[in-house]
Formats: sequence, structure tokens, C-alpha cells
Amino acid sequence: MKRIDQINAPGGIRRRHRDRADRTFYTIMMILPVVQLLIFYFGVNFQSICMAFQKYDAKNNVFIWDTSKNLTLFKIDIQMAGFWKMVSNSLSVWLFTSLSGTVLAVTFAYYIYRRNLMSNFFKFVLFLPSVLPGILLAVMYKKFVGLGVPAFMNYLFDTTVSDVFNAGAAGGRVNLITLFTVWVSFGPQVLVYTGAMDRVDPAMLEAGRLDGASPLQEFFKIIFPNISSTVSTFLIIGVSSIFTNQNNLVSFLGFDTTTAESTIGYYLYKKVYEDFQRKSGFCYAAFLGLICTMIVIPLAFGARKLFDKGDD
Amino acid sequence: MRLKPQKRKKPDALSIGIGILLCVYVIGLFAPMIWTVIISLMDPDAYYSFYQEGTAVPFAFTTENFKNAIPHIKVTSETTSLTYNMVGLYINSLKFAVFSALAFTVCSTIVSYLTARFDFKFSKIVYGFVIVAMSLPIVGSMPSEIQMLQNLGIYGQWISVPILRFNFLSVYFLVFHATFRGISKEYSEAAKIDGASNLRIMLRVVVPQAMNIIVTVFVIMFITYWNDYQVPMLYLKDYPVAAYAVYQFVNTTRNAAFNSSVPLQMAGTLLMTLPVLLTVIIFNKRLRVSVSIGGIKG
Repeated sequence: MKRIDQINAPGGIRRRHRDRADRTFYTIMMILPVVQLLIFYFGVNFQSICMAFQKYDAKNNVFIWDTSKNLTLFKIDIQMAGFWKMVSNSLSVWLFTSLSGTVLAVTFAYYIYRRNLMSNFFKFVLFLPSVLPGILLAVMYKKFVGLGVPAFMNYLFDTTVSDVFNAGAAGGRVNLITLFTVWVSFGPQVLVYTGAMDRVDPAMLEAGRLDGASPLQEFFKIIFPNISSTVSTFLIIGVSSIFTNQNNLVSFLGFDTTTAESTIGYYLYKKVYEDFQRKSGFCYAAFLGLICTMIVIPLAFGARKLFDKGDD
Repeated sequence: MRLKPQKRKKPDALSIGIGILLCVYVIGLFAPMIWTVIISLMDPDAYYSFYQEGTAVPFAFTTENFKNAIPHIKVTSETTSLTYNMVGLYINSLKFAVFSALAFTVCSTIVSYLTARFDFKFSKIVYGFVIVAMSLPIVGSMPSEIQMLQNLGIYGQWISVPILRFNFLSVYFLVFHATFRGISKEYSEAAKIDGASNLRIMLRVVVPQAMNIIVTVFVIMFITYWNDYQVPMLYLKDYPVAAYAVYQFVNTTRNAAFNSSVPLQMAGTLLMTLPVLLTVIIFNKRLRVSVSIGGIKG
């Protein structure tokens, strides 16, 4: 029943009607996104946790509870040197790409920020790898380094160099692939850091210059402290990709790799792809994913706390 | 007003050093590109004698490789044994990329519009949840995702990926949210007084003002999905896409005649990525803005 004051208030009923219309519209429009979220975020992750403690019964095509099987497989895995090599590869790829990528991105951003020679051209070039097809870049790099460089060496110096990406070639190809990963990954960061540098108070820079600060001092004493929060954001995002980074191995080598070259992210993808028909590896992949998530979550939040303290 | 740093007339040692590093980067990036274009235009026999025998060859360029590559560009579905030629692969890619990008952009636009324009408690919950979910690294949910699609009976159908992409858990939600927040509420109020419905206000008043950024995000997501071959490899085995064709003829020996000729392969690679290269050229400026605001490729 409507209250007297509501009926008498100017626009009271109309406002109530409008509020109801707002709520109806809001609810109807939210339904599909929320349903999608419930199924493909909460549902999928809940099911993933369940699968970590299940095994696949191929005969009846069902997943059945088994808390020990995946744990046993995991115990076998961790006793093998190959597994730890994959873990160390994941960590070293993350460390190398994060650190060298950040250093290069900040350095190049500073060059562009200062409007040095051809800075607009460099800005364009640095942005290119982020929009060009990754598989195209990988193919070009693979064929150029593997075939083009040896051909030129042969032609110019009469030296025979074998294709480093061949399965039989002696190690080193994974280092070249990691270098490629860095090469194509930090471009977008440069644009973001340049934007952050543009927001630095010009009065601070002017004061520094009047005091005779060198470009190096200007960078370390004024610019870097002002963009450190942006840098830390990228580093935190990087932490969460430790165990999902595939280091472009699928693009370069398909599934023809050794465990010594693999990362955990690549191993998980390969496991799901290769065990697809049998589904035998699904539950173990879910279990390994859960373990990795449990390791990475505290690392990501720890990194955030660490950087937040640094900013204070 | 944002002042730009003073342009220094004389480059200092630091700038020269970084400039040299940048030049090395540019050479490293362009050398393989130029090499690819040259090889794709090179006569296969001339390439063979240059590569295999190390003999100098006249660089007689030919466009034949592009013509010859077309019949070789085909992928056969493992389950249905259907073979897709270049046109078929383009259509699959287009369907996959357009509908996935559309699903992502529409969902992000709707949810960010609702949370930015309606001050309900649920809006704050959604906004907070996006922040948490984005910083929560979840590893290995792919098997469960496949299982979920199989349970729903849509696994393997091309519509399954756009349904997966109909979500808003990304940095672009925050970008849209900030954009919608920045649009004055007076426009909506005026339209409301004139009797416009909420849907009309959203579609005719507010969204058109954010169209620039919405189109930009759509284009960048289109490029991302066109370039993606790993998701179709697992989720759309019966609908091979163009990027997968590139992956296949470089990493497998299924198409032996094609794989034996590098110039043919390079020409094929360029052909399969041509649509996305054209998109990048057309939307170059728009994309650069997007990378700056998003900070990531998407």
C-alpha cells in the first residue's frame, strides 16, 4: 500500500516507478553476463578444484573421486629431474623477461619521452610486435635465424652453420626463443611508461635542471620514482604469469620439445592437447594447476605488498 | 596543462647510447621481416642454390610463390575429415574473431555501463570482484573449461568460443567503466525527462559518446582472436583457422610438398596473415591509443 506522504510528495510515485524501471532494466541486462560468470568462472574453477581430486574412468566416461592418484603422480613427477628443470625454466623465463623487459621498456620510454631523434618512429616500431600476429613473427624469426643466417654465413664466409631450431641441433634454441619472447613483449609497456613520464610535474624537472642535474640524475632522482607505481603494476602482473607462460614454445617447436626446454605453462597445455581423446591427463593437469595457483597467489599478493611498501 | 619536456638540442651521451640500442632493436625486428618478404618473392630454385650451395644468385623476383601457395594452403579436420582451403580458413577465422570480439566487447560494455551509471550495491560488488579476479592468478583451468563445454553439449561448435568470451574480467572493463563515469549524467537525465527508456538512453545517448573507445577495443580484440591458434586448436578442432594453418605448415610435416619449399611457405604465411596486417595498417593510430590505455595486447 502506498504511503500518503509518498503519494503527496512531488514526483513521489513517478520516482518510485522510475526506480523500479531502473532496477528491472539493470537486472535484465545483468542476467546474461552474471550467468556466464557463474558458469565459466565460478563453475569452471570449482570443477577444476574437484577434478584435482578425481580420476577419469574411461570405461564409463565419468570422473570419479580419487584423492590419492594425482598426488601419487605428482610425487613421481617431482622425483624426476625433468620436472624441476621445467620449474626452473618457468622461473628463469619469468625473471629474464620481467627484468630485461622492464629495464629495456623504461630506458626506451625515457628516450621517447625526451623527444629525442626519431622518437615517433621508434614509438611506432616498438608498438608493432604487440599487434602483428605472434605466429607470423615466430615463423619469420625461426626461418631467419635457422635458415637465413646460416645461408648468409655460408655465402659470405663459406662457413657451415646448422639450423639451430632443428630437433637434432645442440642446445641453445630455447635461449633464442626466450630472447624472442623478450624482443616482442615489452613494446606496449614502453607506451604506458611514456604516458606515465608525461604526467611528471614539469616544475620538478625544471628545478632539477636549474640545479644542474645530469640526464642520468634526472632519470634516477625524478622520473623513475614518479613512474615506480606503474612499473610495479607490470611486475605484479608478471608474477601471476610464472606458471602460465609458454615462452612461445608451441609457435616455434610445436610439441616436439624435451622437458629440459619446457616450462610448466607449456607442459600443462601439451598435456591437455595430447591427452585430449583419453582425458587421462585432465585431472592431473587440474591438480598441477591447483598446486601452481596455491604457490602463485601468495607470491602475487606478497609482491603487491612489497611494492606498496616501497611506494610508501 | 601538461607541459612537454624541453627538447634538447645537443644529444647527450645517454641519449646516444639508448638511440644505438633502439637502432639494434629496429634492425633485429625488421631484418626477419625484410628477409621474409624477399624470400617469398624469390624463385624456389634460386633460393635452393643460395641456401644449399652458397652460390651467388641473381635475385629474380617472382610472384609465382603466392599463386602456387594458394592450393597448398589447406587443413583437414581430424574428426570430420573435411578439408578447408584458403577461403574456408579465412571464413572460419572471420567467424571466430568477429563473434569472439563482439561477445567480449558487448559484455564488457553492458556490465561497465550498468556499474558506472547505476549506483546500486551490486555495481560496487561487481567492480571490486573484477579487480580481485584480475589479480588472482588461476593456473590450469583449461581441462575443466573443456569439460564444462562438453557437459553443456556445445564443445566443438564454433559458437562455444564466443560464449566463453562473453565475459568482462579484463582491464578493458575498467577502461569502459572510467569512460562511462566520465560522461555527464545530465544527458541521461534530460532524455529521461523526455520519456526515453533506459535501453534507449543507453543505446542512443551514452554508448554513442563512448563509441570511439568501444570500436578501438573491438578492433584490438579482433586482431588478438584472429592471431590466436591455440584456443581453436583445443576448442574448435573441426573449424581450423588461418593462424592454425600457419602453425601447421611450419611445425608439422603433414603438407610435405609445401614444407619442402621455404619461399612457398613464406608466401603462404604472408597470405594467411594478410587480413590482420591490413587491419593493423588501417587502424594503426586507433590501436596505438588502445595499447596506451590498456597497457596490454589483450
